[in-house]
Amino acid sequence: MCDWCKVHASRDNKWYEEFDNYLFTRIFPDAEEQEQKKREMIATFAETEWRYSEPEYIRNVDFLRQRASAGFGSQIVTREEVLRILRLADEAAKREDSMLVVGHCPCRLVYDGVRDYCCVGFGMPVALSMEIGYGRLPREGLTEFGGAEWRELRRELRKHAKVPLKLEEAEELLDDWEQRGLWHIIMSRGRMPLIEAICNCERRYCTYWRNRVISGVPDYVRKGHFIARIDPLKCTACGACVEVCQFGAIHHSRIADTVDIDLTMCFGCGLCRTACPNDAIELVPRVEIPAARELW
Amino acid sequence: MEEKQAAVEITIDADRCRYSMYDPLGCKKCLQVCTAKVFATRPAHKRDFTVPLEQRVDPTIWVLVTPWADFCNGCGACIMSCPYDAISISIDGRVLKAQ
Repeated sequence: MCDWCKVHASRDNKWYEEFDNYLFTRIFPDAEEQEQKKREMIATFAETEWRYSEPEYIRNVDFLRQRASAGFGSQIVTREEVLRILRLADEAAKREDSMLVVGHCPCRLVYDGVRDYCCVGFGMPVALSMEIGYGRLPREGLTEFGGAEWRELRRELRKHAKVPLKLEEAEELLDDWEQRGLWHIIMSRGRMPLIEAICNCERRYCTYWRNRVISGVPDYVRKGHFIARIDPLKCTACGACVEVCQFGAIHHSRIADTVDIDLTMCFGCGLCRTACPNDAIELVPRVEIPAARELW
Repeated sequence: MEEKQAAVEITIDADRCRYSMYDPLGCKKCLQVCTAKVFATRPAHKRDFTVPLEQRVDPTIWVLVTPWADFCNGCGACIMSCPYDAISISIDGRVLKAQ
């Protein structure tokens, strides 16, 4: 079982299925602590992009290890889980005067110079940043930027850092991200176990992935609770999954013309399952596979 | 609380299995279908060249073994593809076998 589930969830629940883990006021009930955490958040908003390109931070192993123990972390989740998480997050956001928003990915902005709207934020950080950025809490008047004409409005949206997201549109957007081959991770940015965002990203741009690789701390991007399993009887070795796998876990054997998934490298993001035209890949709980159950 | 690395046991029923390395009609389905490559094949006896030629065991007798059983992902493809229903797998006490 995942370490975080042991610590941050009641029995048999995953830590991100726990409603309390979406509520800022539940995790930090003390008023003074709340104020301190809010000040930390505001400082983070101001310097995120700057920090992501500063070698003193991103190449400093000691610093990264210390941050990991201070409660920075993320975990891969599958498509179905994202929908459940968003429903919980929406519920929690209503309680805390916050909302679901889609923001641009700071990592892609820093490493690619592109504003790509692929990060879903919610909870207290969103309420706070809205309050700072717009001078008021997110209420009606901002929602006009959402809506079904998402793609047409994208150019317009570039002016804005965050765009409100309606729960009904989430699935459509999620499909879009799956088609583009982006993984989904739930993030806690220094306030573990408070879940603050869902990032849809690629290994190439993800700062947390870099942190994991450079510092060797798996907490930055933890493997998910599922693992992909291939059915060799349905598989036609077309190679669609090999192309989308970001972790190099899938290998197409040219001499045998078969495809196999390396249990030790699979993160359980489920992109291969989406890409498979033959439904040959299924996601099974990690605990059911002895070879993979201790790998996070 | 350390969870015990549960044993995966792959049982090959020697009476039913028609595996043969040298017989062209012998079956090698499980070897070929497994993506985790848990099956392997090897001579039944270690070859010993100090033994006189006429006393040596038949080197063409090979057996099917499962040295990587702990890497089994439980997909059940070997069980489905075995024409003789010779394979059964037990993961955490859950038994997979042909009906």
